[in-house]
Amino acid sequence: MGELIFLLFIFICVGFIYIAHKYFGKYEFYALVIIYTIISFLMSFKLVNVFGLDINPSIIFSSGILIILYYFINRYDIKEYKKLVMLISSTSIICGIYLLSNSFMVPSIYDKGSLLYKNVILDNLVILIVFPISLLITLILSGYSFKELKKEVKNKKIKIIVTIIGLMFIDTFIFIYFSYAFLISFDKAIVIAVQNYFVKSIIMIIYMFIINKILSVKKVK
Amino acid sequence: MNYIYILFEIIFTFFLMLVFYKVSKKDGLYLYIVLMSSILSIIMFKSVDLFSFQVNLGIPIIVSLFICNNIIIQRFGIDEVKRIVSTFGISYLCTIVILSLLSLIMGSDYCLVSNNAFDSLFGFNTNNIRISIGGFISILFMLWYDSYIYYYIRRKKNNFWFSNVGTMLIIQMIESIIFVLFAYIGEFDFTLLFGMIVIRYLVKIIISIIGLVPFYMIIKMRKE
Repeated sequence: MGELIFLLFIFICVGFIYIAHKYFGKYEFYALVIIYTIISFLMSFKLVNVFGLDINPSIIFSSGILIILYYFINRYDIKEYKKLVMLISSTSIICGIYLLSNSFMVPSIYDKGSLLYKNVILDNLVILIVFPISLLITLILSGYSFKELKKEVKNKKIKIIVTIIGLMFIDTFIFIYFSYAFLISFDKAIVIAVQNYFVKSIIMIIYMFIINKILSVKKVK
Repeated sequence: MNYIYILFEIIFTFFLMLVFYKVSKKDGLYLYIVLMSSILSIIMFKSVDLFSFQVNLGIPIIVSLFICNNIIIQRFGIDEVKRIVSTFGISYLCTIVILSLLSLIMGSDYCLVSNNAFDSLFGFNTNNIRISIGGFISILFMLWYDSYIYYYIRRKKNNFWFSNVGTMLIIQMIESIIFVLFAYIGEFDFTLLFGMIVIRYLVKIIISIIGLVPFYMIIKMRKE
């Protein structure tokens, strides 16, 4: 069941990108990236067990964000790419501010959800802080790498794979390792980080090949 | 303490509306709707104490969505209503459905407390479903009617202060009734439900009046 839902998330993530490309324009991508950022931020508070691995599900939609960045670099000018990075970073910060301010509010006596809210947000304060920072760093590095990749002609597929493996290493180890090192323990965090690095790299490589196919699909709008 | 946080949220929410408009004009307002709808869908589950009654979080966001709706109708006409409603609906549903689906995946043995809390907070239980659907239906339909009422009042009397306040007084009352009844009927007694509706309505009206400031600023920006 868990594995199926995990695969469904991957399908939904790519599916929306395909629909936005085929039927809509630039601003629908901006809207999509806002939704993906909020979903991946919230997902980062849970650690799931799928395929026998402990995975942070936020990697599905944060990979989607990076793929939209790749799409923007290949399709639009540098101004749009910078705007996208600004939007993603500000969305994650805004979402963090709302979550934090709401978790400090004194709950009503009938409220059943406030303790759960506290357990999700305040007990995982490290994630709340590290997620936007790691996302911003990854976006800047990915943006630079994707721009350089755009100029490449020879052995492009291999270069894309190598770039992704490198980028995911930085991303996973900033976010996953540091978050879980503080939340659980340093030695267990390294195991979780390696597992997430492995899965995220595979997801990103799959996404990358799909997005290159999507880029060649003729747009309706 | 809650009043300070609510005040902070009001200022922050309206400030964001101005920033989004300043950066991308009409598209900025739509992106603002996407952002606020997504955030709203995840924070509505918690309720806080205001004037001794239970009020769900996210009221400044709900009011800002209606003000944003009025700005778009004022500036770009009634034809935008479908786009506004679909933008809200898709963003709200996508976020909450995906997060609810995540609760069906088995959590890891690490972080057991926060995994269970996440599942209970966003999972498929009666309370959550009622609050989510209540919020979705009440805001979706009221955004739709808000546009037409605003447009109608504006055509009769072209004064945006009047059309805004008039629309808010009607729409916020119906929204409060629909939401509270849908989410909490059968759970609390009638007196408490009535109090929740009244307090929710009053808080929203106060925020709506504060919201006239960003509304005026955005309309003024256009003239400049």
